[in-house]
Amino acid sequence: MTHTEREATLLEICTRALALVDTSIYQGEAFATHSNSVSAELEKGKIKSSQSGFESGIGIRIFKDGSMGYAHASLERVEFAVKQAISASRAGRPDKDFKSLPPAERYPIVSGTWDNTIASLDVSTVAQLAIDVADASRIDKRIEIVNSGASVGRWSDAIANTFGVSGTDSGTQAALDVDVIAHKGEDSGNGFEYAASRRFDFDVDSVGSAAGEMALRSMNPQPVQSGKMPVVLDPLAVGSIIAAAVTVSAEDAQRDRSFLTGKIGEHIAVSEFTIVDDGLLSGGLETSPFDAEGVPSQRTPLVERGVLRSYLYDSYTANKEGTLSTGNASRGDFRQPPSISPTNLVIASGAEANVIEDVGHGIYIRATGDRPNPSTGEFSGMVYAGYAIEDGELEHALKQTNIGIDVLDLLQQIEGISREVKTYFSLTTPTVRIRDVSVASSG
Amino acid sequence: MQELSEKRDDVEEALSAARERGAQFADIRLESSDGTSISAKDGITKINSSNELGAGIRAFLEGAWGFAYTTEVDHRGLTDCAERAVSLAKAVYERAEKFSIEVPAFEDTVKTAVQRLPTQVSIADKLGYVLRQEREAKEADKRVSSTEIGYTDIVLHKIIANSEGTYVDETVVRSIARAMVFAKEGALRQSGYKAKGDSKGFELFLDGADIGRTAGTQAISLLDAKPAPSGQFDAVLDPSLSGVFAHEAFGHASEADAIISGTSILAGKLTQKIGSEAVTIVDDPTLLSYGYMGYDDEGIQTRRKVLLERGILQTYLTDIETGSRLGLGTNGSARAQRYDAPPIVRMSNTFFEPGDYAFDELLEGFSGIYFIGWQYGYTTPTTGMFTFKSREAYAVEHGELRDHLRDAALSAMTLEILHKINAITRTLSFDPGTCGKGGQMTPNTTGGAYMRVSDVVVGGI
Repeated sequence: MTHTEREATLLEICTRALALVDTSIYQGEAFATHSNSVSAELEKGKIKSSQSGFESGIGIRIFKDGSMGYAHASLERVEFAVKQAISASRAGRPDKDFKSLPPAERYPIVSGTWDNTIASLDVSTVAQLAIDVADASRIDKRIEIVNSGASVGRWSDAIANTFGVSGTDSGTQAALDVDVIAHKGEDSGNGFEYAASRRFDFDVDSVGSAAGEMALRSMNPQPVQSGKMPVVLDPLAVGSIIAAAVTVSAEDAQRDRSFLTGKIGEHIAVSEFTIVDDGLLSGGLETSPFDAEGVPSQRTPLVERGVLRSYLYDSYTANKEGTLSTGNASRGDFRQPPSISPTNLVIASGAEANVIEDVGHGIYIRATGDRPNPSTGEFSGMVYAGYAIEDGELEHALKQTNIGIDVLDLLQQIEGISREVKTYFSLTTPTVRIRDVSVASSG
Repeated sequence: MQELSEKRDDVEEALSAARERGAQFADIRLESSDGTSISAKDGITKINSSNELGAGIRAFLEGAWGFAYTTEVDHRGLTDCAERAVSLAKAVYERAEKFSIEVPAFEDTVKTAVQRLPTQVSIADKLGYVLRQEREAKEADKRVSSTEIGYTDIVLHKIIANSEGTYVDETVVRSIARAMVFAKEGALRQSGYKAKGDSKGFELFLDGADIGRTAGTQAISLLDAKPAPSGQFDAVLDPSLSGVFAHEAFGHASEADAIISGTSILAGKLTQKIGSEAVTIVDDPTLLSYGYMGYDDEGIQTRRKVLLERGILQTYLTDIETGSRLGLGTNGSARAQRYDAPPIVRMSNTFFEPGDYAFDELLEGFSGIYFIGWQYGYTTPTTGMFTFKSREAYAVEHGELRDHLRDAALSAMTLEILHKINAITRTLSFDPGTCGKGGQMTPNTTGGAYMRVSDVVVGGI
């Protein structure tokens, strides 16, 4: 079955499901999906396992006076799922803020989301990719342990609702990860790298060697002198600190749970800072013609030249405020109803060729496991992987180092943005330098 | 709920097909589940009814595993799936590390005994509980600005069978409720959290104990809390934080797959003294807590495992593969998120054994930071460095609670802090939670008592 034929079958199943819904009482939505994936895992450089899965299913969302019931089932049990969702919707409480599921609209054409090569890959090729990236990471004899994995997948989706929404989409994705440990005597260092793409276009050597270099660079960690200093955020750290803080769902804003509630139109960041949620980005991991409710995908500036422009909306939160959905309804799989989530995030690049060369004494954060407190905007966290910067050069790895800053201060203290950008999963961002951040090191 | 008990012939024929196609070993997990999730966010309810039916099949060949899954669980579907698993193993086994496995066989039928089976309780009763928690949370104080109550139950029926003769039929029941409450005063926002969950039916929620008000009260109390200081301090951890310590900083390092892949600080340390006399850590899947399982997902009968006894490392958590490779045998620690994922080494109910201190004795003369409740945390496996963010904390001077603190973080090295635990109280308590590993989520319990530790790094804003 080609993916276009698959889409037609799935849409037909959705239509059949909605025919079971009495539209004089209920509003209904059906989402059907079929996917296929293959993956391989390497442990210490040797194949450990390979997996393949077919998954298909339908998710039914029913509203009665705004009370939502949801149920999912395999594609053979559509009628059962509809009945379950109807009875769940009847048990809940009415919600006067719920107006309606979205209406039918024309969908934009997206590009770079399907790759025939991925769609036809077998497990042997995927296993070889995991082996190749592991080999590429062994750039030095101190690199002793390499674990890696590779996966490819393709899927087709269909969505329909009782207001005439009707859409189908198919996509492919491939991912690669490598985790490396370097050893010398008692000392060790950990390095990792990931890559994910809608096409089978990995630069395996650069992914592998980046992990190897990070492991070597992370050896022999030392504390830095505590105090206020410039902090440079690697694209990965920009994602977990800045992008996480400024992408606020309208649900959190409406319920007054975000530190950015009520700040639309305000200058929250330096004027060089712009971040866009772009559901149409060519080849983006989260790119599709429509969101999880069948609302057309779009490009939404969230912060534009420092000014907070928008939260992320689905149809419910948009209707509640009398505005339009930004197409940010999303779902992990057919087992869950949609919830609000960013699509592809793109932070505008800056002018600097080298963001660390002017730093006399500071730190570079590659990754942190912490995230800002979404209701207060305060960030305090440990540097999971990072390095000291002395006289414009990366020096030793950091040992037990914490940083703390209020995100609203951080956004005003951005003083350097790199020209070069990097894409990690669905975030494309430059490297960013912040001035005057509290850094405390010990141990 | 789909009937699985009549599937024995289909299951055994699929296993035979795998053997005939060249697998040295094959196993199958056939699962059927019924569950309900209810959420209430500021009065808006969402009800999700979940039904699953599917099977996952593994084939082993000279050190390589192939894994495939299917939702077509008739004779043909299971056999096709078994053949796919074998083809996967065959495609890669030449590039695998060679080893053999030893598999103890079990045959049994077990069922979690519950008083109120969730599938026989009406949605209205479950919703009633959720809305009562919401009301309690809102009534905690007029500064409560937003509430979110979640409820989830599941009745899960599994058949676990393998080519060595295992045939286990187990039904588990789990229930959990969580309250997340936000409070606001001026521009200040804070949140509070409380959960309760066990391998029980709806009777879990009939004891009158509430989670909404507890979470609401915590959110309110944090409105006047100060940011935590930074530096080196002595610390007291409440049971929820010591439980997370047992799980995150120690438990994951004791998982044998991490020992084999070279990513654990506990590699090569069996029988060594790595902690103080005060410290004993146990993983016990047989307790009817949220992480309960009678048999693991490889069909091995579970048992209580003392991982660390009075500071001495006793064993790792093992499954069939890692137990065979390390020569320890499996101790029944394999778990999978669902039929569509392969089992991997996991914890269940993991906790510090209690000590003999009273709480007052623990604080006597103590100066430092007293940490309460867990927000989130993470560990660097290769070094054992970990950071936990607490929900609230107090600065303590000579045994007296002083400033109330928010967002205080605690970080340390696992192998250092185990030696620095110098007192534990006698009041053991448990918290339910969800653990993620390798993209798979499992229900777990963490537990402990109040614990006093010297010299940790505290980070604030």
